[in-house]
Amino acid sequence: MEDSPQEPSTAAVDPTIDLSEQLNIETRNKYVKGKEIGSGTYAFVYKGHLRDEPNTLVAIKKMKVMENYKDGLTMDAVRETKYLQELSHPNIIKLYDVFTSKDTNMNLVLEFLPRGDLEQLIHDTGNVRYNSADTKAWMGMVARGIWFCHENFVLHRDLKPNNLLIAADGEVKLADFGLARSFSEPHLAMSTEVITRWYRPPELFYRARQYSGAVDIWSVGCIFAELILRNAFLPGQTDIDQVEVICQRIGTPTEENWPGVSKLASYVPVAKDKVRPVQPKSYYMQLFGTVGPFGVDLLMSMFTLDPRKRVTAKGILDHEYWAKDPRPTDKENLPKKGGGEKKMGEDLKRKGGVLEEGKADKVARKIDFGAMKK
Amino acid sequence: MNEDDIYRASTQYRLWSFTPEKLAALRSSTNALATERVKAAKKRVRLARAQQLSSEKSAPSGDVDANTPKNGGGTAEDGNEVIDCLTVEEELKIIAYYCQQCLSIGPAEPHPMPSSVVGSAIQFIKRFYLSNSPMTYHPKDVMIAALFLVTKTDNFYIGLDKYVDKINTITGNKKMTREKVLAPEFLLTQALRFTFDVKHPFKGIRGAYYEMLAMIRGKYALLPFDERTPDQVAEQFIDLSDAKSKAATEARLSKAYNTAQETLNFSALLTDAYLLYTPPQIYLAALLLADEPLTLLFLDAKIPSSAPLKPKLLATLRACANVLTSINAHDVDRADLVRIDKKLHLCRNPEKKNLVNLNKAQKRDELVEGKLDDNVAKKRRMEREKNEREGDALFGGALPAATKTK
Repeated sequence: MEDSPQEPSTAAVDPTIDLSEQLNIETRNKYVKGKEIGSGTYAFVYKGHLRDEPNTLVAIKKMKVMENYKDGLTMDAVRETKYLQELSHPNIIKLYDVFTSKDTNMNLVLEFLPRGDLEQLIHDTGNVRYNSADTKAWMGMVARGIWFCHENFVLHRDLKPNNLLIAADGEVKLADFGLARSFSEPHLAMSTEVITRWYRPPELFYRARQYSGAVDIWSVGCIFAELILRNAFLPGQTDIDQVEVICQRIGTPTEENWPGVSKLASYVPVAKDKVRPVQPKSYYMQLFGTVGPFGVDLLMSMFTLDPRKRVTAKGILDHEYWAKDPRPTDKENLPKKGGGEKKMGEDLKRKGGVLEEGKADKVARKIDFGAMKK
Repeated sequence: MNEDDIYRASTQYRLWSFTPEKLAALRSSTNALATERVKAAKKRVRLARAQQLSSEKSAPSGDVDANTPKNGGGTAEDGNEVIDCLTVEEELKIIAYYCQQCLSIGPAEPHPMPSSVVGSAIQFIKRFYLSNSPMTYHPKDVMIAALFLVTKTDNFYIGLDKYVDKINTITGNKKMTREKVLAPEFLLTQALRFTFDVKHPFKGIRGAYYEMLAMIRGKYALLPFDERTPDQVAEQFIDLSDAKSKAATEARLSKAYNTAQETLNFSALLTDAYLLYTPPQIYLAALLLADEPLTLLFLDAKIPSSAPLKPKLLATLRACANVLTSINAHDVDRADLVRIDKKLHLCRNPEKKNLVNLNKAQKRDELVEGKLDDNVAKKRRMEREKNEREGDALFGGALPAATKTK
């Protein structure tokens, strides 16, 4: 805790300190930095609390100075700060304050989310049981969060279960805005090197330089599917393999189902006999039938290959699925899992857009489709 | 939740929007504080120098007057330098000059930056100088840092090396360095209160253009209050042109749109428009200036004439239009700028002048090694000492009272 300020605000007397520096010191002094709950190549994460209200907990994410990055503030720090400063919504992690410590590192004071993330719940099949009402509740919160981002013209670009953190009251919050950006001016190109592979939509593999909120919606679809299967639905081993997995499980993108796709920079034409048709509803019903036919309709609309026809965040919220039985579980009654504090530290320290080390190898390459049939 | 709610939640509204009175008061208190500090800092430096000289000469009492700088703007009876500081107006003029420099540097080759990106840099500079004075931090340094910071905040990342190359290519010399660009970055982000979002009127005006085009073509879906038919609306628009034709009206719209865009790319960025008005108010005011009858017809389809809000809106738009016309691309008084620049040279805060070294000092890991000439060594020592003073204040260290602040 080398830069946990132990002194209350006594700096007011120094006549050489700028107003903004003064404000920074006051902000820093509002918080007490506690124990480290996570540390990675990208950031340290500490548990902390308000100096005046020790019961108000916060997470303090301290950006590391990168060894190989010499261009000042890092893009991740800038992006995350920029967007979280603007977005205030129950389903988006709250940024309370930003301050710098004496070595000029940025510290983000974030909402403390002690109950881990959705990934933990999904994959702890031994201890955590949940039903389709729980899935509906979680998906509702994710959908409201991403709707709010898009309504504010912000693309998240790294949605995945371990970026969906859970608050003490069960509310799910979108976190890690290190890859976020605002919707582009129509003529400017955007990077396609975004979104963690398993959650990345086909248009990014084909290097579409202009894209929309539809990229996040594909990720939401992957999360929905993963919640139901309790396993990643599209786990490609490499980028090339990922496209193959998408063709297999969703369908091969063609000019018929996606007009214009063949003009995208990295589109590789597929021989007619190799084209896999877009999977019919019966296929989805078999795999995802537990959420009911309306849930399946919604899921299919998120996996629409043509991004222009893919459902929008608003479209998700307006979907019939929410009005049908079962009612989503109240957030207080959602299944929980302990030991999330450490997990929050782990989640916040990561660099965006990458799978956790070794994970691609560990997770079963193929889903056991047979076992899922009811 | 509507668009207004979203805007009110933005940092641009919460932190960077003011009434004209509030804005003026803020600038005047920033100027007053900076003036006070320049005087205090100059005094500290002078005393330190005098003390050093007297101890070097081992003279019992230093002749302070003899050591005051000869070109320092005169010396008063009591040995205090008379420092002629910048007024708020002079500060604004010199800041405006460097904001305008952004408009020539940003879009120039190599790596030309889009106008909204350059526009954000200008707003960063304007926001920075609400709590800082050019006497403390020179606008040239801040401009260079702001233009680089926006490459990171506004999705135009080119990397520092390319950026340094851009600046050096444009200025035609090799004076810019990586260190100089980065030195003020933290000061800048701190003064921006770590908010990097700038909402521009550029997208909005494009929307208005397409809506008006639809109105002229009789294809606009009218709002529920409007009792006219789309064709009637089209007719009213067409009546505006002398030729009374659709084509002529569309040409008139294009002309108005282009003129308004010029306003947005220049006056809106350089005046206080962003600090006083919302993006839609700014583009509507720009359209009003470009073609009033056209813009009024457009507004008729947006708000009923009977609405109490209408006169209020028009008054706001006219006030904003006044702000937009308060600057002219051609009325730069170079002689006056040269005068202010000279004046600034004499009243800069000596403790904040060398940002590169200040930045290094702040990182605390600098090892001063090798031979340094006396001047550099002296400068370094002063920064270190200043640093220690700050360190004391910040972290309550137990260092002995520094000698130079006697």
